[in-house]
Amino acid sequence: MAHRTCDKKPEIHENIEDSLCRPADLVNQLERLALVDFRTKQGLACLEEAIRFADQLHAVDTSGVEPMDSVLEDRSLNLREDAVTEGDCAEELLQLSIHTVEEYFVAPPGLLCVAKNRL
Amino acid sequence: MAASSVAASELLQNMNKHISILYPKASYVIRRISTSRQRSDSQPQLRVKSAPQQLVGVVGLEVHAQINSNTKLFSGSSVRFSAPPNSLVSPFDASLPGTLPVLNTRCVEAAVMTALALNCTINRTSLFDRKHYFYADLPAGYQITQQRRPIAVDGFLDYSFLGGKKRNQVIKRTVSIKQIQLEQDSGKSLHDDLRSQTLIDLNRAGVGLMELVMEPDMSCGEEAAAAVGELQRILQTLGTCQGNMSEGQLRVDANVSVHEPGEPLGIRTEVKNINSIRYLAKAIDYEIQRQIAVLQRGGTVQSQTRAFDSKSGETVPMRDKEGLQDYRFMPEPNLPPLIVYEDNASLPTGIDACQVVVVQAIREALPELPAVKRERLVQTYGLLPEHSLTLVNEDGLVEYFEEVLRATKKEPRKVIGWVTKELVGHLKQQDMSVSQSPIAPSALAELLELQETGHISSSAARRVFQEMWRSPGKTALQIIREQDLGLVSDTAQLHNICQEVLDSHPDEVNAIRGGNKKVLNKLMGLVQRETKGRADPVLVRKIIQEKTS
Repeated sequence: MAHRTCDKKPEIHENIEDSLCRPADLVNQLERLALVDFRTKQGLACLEEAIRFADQLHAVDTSGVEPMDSVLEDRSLNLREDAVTEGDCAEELLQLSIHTVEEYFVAPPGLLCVAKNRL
Repeated sequence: MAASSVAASELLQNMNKHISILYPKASYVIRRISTSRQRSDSQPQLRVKSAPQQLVGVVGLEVHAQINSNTKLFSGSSVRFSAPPNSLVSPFDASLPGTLPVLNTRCVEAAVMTALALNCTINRTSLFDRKHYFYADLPAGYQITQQRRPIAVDGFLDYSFLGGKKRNQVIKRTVSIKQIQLEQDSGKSLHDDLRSQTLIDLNRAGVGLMELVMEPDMSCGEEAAAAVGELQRILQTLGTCQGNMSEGQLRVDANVSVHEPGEPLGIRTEVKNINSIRYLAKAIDYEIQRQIAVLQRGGTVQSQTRAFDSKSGETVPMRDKEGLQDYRFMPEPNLPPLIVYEDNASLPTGIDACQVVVVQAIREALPELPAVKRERLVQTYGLLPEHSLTLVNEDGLVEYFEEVLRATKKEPRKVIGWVTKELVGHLKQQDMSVSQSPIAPSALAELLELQETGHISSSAARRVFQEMWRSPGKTALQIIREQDLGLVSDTAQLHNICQEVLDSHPDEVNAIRGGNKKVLNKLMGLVQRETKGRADPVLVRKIIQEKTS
């Protein structure tokens, strides 16, 4: 996807309008969360394609069928004893991040407007 | 009104004249100046309700209690309040690929124990889900919680507080508990506004939480505070949560609305950022008043999230989050259903004992809950309910009280007042806890013994108590000697003093002889003044009665 922002108003296909309510808001929100500008013809076409692909799920009649929510099926849940076995690897973990300050991870600036809303 | 409009239009005319003189080519003209009066006339009148409404508050609470365990909910990292940043973080907590959640037995037991203490129904099978939202301190992008079927539902919490005019009546209430669910805590974010960045510490990420949802059965800050106080005591007694609000071990959000009794519930707001029980009461009461004021002005309450500002004592709106959050709940595919067994008989054959949580065993191991303790104290010591309420509500007071009892022959009912009124009164004045009391139980016991054996009067005893409080080293005996507070029991001296008083008040003597017994108290007061409160009141009364018979 291109990372340029486009000054023109987005060309939203009718198909997207059908499947989403308030598509402009949703595109805004998705852009802000994903930190990627995809408000281009290409980007929106990609989004529309993704929605159409997912909509295929509706083609299958699942009435009366119990959903399977885990490949573990009937396996019982493993319980763990309450004893310390891990942690103490700050250095290793921090190496995975491009930006760190002392021993803190640094959050990308795009999420700061969200940060101000939370206490 | 008319005058100002005239003035305004004159001004307009003058201005236009000047404009055309100064700028002959200008084609604009100032068409109108709106005065404040004109503006208000053109706006619709705000609806003002005619009759005053009997609006009452409706309060529900969402409580997050950090589970007191050695390790986190789904990983083996340590749980501790303060540690170097990111030192208590495992690869799973940092949501690195290839890691999986493994449930901590202790957290399940803690949730079951708490649910039993709160009279809940334990769901034999409960499920885990993912709640998705984007935030820097939630590395996985989702929180594992129990949205579809939590571990416990339908409980209740009995609580009480002192009310009535003299604040000595025990008022009992109940709040329903909708559910208790297990979920992960998030990390901590520190906002560095100077450098426009957010620093993330994941030490807290993944710590086990019990979310308790309380139904909107409460109506004001006092009730909510009492309910949370009792919950705190229960959790601390169970050991499932240390309940320290200032350290974030117990977090409370309040849902507040107002309505007329009998009418449907009003729009509710959520109040967050409350970190003490006192602030909880303040925040709720402020919000109720604020909403009532809005409605009485004819406005409508907006559904929003508000934060409590402890400095101003007000709630302020938090900026609207981006529209309605879609959490995209989905079952947690890496965790099969959690099954807890009622008793050993219902265990499947061949199952490993470490792999099961048995409700019956937890029920049998429940410690004595605060409510039971209060009742036991009432029965054992013959106390009034309001006394045992105060005893159990103050940390360490029961132990203090029992230690005093061990060191004195005085009846519990005579000791309790000293503990719940004198001691607690002084502690509260200086915001001290029982453990900080300058008067030890043995010292108080000594003082009470001296009073019981007739060495000092009750009023003198209170003075000695105050002096003991001010000078922690001194014993009661020392103070009595120093300030000469000992009871005067020298009958000859007392007789003389009484005679003096009677001689100088012949009218009162006659009144007593005439049948007015109340005047006796006045004479007793005079004798006490003469003796500086050191006369044995029983003896004085006897002497006066003899002399006036």
